[in-house]
Amino acid sequence: MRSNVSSRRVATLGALLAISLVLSIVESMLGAMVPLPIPGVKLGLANIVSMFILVYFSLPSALVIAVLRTLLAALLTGGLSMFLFSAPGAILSILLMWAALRFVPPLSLVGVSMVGAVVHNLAQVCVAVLMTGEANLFYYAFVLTAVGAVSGSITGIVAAAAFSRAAGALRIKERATHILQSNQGGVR
Amino acid sequence: MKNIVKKADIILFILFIAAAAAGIVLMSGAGSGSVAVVRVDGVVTRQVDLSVDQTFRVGDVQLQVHDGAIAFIASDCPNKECIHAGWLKTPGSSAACLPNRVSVTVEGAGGDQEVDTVAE
Repeated sequence: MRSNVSSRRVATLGALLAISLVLSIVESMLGAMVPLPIPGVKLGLANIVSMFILVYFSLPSALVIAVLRTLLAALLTGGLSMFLFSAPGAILSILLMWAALRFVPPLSLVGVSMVGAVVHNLAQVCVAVLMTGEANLFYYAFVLTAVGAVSGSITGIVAAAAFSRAAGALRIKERATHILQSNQGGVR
Repeated sequence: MKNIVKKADIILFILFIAAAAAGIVLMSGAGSGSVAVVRVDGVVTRQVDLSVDQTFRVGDVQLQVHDGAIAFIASDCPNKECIHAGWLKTPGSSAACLPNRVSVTVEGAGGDQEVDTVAE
């Protein structure tokens, strides 16, 4: 009955998965090349795609694509322990970004992206503590909160500037959410 | 730009930064540590005196002590996050190599933070 629509949807989501995978691999390559004073600092480029799917598709789609992305990225770069390390952060950040999109209308994509980045970083600290049994690693939670606020606003600004054009390129009909309406003027 | 960033975003940003700053200020104890504890899988495997310069291996990672600080200097892990963590000096600071499950924590000079072994 809706086969036409859903095959298109699958194809688009597949393309988005590929884009997010490239972004996360490029990011991990950059991370290996440029030494940073604080471990775990990332821009979170792949999070832009998660947000895009949350806005134009649905929460389940965003979760599935993010889990597949972390799995594939782990297989291509670090191995399965990388997956266990990054998947909880990806899932939690998508859940909270969804909640922010839905229940906190005053936030724009920039604020939503900040929430996602901070939650992602905090979840990774928790996983690190669980894996090493080292409670002192919680110290990084504060550093990574600040880092998440900065990196999240950067990726959020990119997202806000790029979303409606990307949706046009992928021929996705815009969902009339408050976020997109409020960003319309800035994009055009 | 005006349409992209809203007031609530700026407030949220300030909140995050303030929380982070408060946490960092509260957690950073003054003074330099003297003992580093090396754990594998959360189990203490080695206590290192940071006043003695040395280099040693734990599994697949190599650590170095120099000028009262300790750092990961070599590891076979893919991202080298542990090496990027750099030199650890202040008590409470730590770094971990998750793929190898090795972590290092600098503890205070008094060594009264926790009891690792008790002689009976």
